[in-house]
Amino acid sequence: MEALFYIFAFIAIFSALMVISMKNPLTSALYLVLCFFALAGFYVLLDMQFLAVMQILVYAGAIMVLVVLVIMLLNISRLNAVKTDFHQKIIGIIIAIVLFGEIVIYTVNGMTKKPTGIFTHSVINKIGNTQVIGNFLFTKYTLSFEIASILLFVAIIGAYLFAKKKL
Amino acid sequence: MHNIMPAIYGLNSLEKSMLSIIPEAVVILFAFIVLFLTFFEKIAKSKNSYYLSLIGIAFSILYVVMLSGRNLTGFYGSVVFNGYDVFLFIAILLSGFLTVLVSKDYIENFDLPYPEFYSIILFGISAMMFLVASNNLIMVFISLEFMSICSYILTGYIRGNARSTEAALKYLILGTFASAFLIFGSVFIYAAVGHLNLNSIHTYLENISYGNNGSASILSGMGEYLSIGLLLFMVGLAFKMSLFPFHAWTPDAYDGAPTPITSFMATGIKIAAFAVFLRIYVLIYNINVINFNDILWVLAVLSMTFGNIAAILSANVKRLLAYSSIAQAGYILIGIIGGGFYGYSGTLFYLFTYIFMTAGAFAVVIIFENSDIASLDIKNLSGIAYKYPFISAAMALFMLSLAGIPVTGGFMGKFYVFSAAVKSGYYWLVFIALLNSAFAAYYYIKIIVKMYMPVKEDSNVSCIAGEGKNYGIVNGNISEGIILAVIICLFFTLIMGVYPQIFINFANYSAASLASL
Repeated sequence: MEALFYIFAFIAIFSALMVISMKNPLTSALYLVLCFFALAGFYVLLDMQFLAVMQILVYAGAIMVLVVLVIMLLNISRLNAVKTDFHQKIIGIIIAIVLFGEIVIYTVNGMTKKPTGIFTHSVINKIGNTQVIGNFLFTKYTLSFEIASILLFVAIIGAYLFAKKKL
Repeated sequence: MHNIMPAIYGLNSLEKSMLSIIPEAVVILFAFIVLFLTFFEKIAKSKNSYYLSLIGIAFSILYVVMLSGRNLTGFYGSVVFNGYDVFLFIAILLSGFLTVLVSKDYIENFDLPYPEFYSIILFGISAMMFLVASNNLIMVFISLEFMSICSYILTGYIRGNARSTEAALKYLILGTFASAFLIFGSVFIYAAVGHLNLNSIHTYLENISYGNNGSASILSGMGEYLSIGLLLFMVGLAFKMSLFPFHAWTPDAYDGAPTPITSFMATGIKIAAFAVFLRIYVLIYNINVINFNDILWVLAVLSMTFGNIAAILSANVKRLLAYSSIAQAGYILIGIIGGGFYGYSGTLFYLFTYIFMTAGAFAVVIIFENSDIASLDIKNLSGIAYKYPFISAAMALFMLSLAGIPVTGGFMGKFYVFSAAVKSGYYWLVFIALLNSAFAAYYYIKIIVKMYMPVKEDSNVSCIAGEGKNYGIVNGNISEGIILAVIICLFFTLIMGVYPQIFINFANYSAASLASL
């Protein structure tokens, strides 16, 4: 299991780096798909099969289709001459190193014993993954769920307002 | 046995849950009704959406007043409704009411649909109310996102105007970044304490820090996770409060957005962000994991100083008000740092006065925009007082209030906030804040002086008119709505300066129910 984790982690980081360093947007998009698959792998390792399937269906499936479609419609074949400021690069690298160092320090010094809720692996495996999520969505987090639906609705209106030529 | 429905689905519980979100639900309902007006072309072009949104907000205020005094918890502790919410709901609804009042004149200048505009404002108001009421990290995140998405849409609402679109894009990209910080922070907090409900986190932390059995050993591992989580969480909220290092979006977004929306962002969003920060501060930050007051101290000083210096250098009224709102955020933060009952109630009082001064100032700016001065350069304001005596007098009062001159609400607000900080022993902070207020008075009074200066016959009059045509704002409408908004703001700004006791009592009542949580 641990070996699998490292494999997935390597794939995720590698593909994420490739997403931002590739010149061709379509290649970047395909690396992003790979990154999403690696993340889905993490979910499977965490016993979250439902989330893994959703990750692949929604992110790697639906959203990536949109991204690729937009790339096709805009017909961007190659990004040439992206302006990069020298200062920007230096600051970016410094911030990235500081953040990385912070995360390493915190995870090393962080607690060894983590608090666990009532839903341990055995409980989840007994009830079933989807049921647990469903139960939560429709009892404890009903309101958040409903507000999220209104949020998406408003976002659709916004997209319509920005995109439509004549209102 | 005969009880088929589980207790959690009991009618009483459901009823209570529904009751606790009625004010928000009414606003959302009206938002949908206003949106449905777009189906009918004739109605959509009429003023119905404007009146309907005003009625919706008024209904919501009515429900808040009817429910006041109750202490409700709904949806498994996701939302709470108590005295704290009553105060802030009324503040947010008033800010929304003023926004809708001033919107009509502005939005009619453009060839844009009205009902969507008003309905998104209503959605935004409901999102802010949910944010204030939320008592759960997931609810905080979702309602913050909801609020942000509404404000992104409204910022870029003037299609075809490059500045509006640019502002919306900048705001969207930076805002998404801030949301990422917020959710990353919540993940760390959850990893440390294992709870999402703010009250549960509060009791958990309290049990640890005051526990009998070796509290240090339990905290030693958890402290790091919790403090990094709280820091990241604070970054996400500080972005919405536009405190100094996270302010970069503020000038551009405030400048590019339609002016009513600038007013909405400066009042509503800021209040909602401060309110939720205050709630989380009282429940979580206040328990000493690391000393957050030192961090907030630095943020407050930097925000005040930066905001004031940048405001002095800016030549555009809208940009000046944007920078001044950064400085004001610094002053408001002093109340939270000061802490204690007086600090919290002072913060709430200051937030309440802040609505009226800022919304009033922006209403006057809209009137200026609608009349002949399209470019809001401060130079162009010279002599405007002789043309519009009432409006200019109102603007002068709002400026004095923002500067914190006595007899205005702004003075009382600053007084309470600073005295709370002095009470807690933050002398240097108050000293710097006082220096800053003296400094800030310069640019507020500069506007007044410009307005009352006699007109100089210079050559760029024709140039101004040309710019006006480009901008699309030349119809010169000043309707009752905008005058009403100015009068409301004027009334409250004055009454809070002259007889603040009633508002102080209200803020005290609100702060008491916050502290008793």
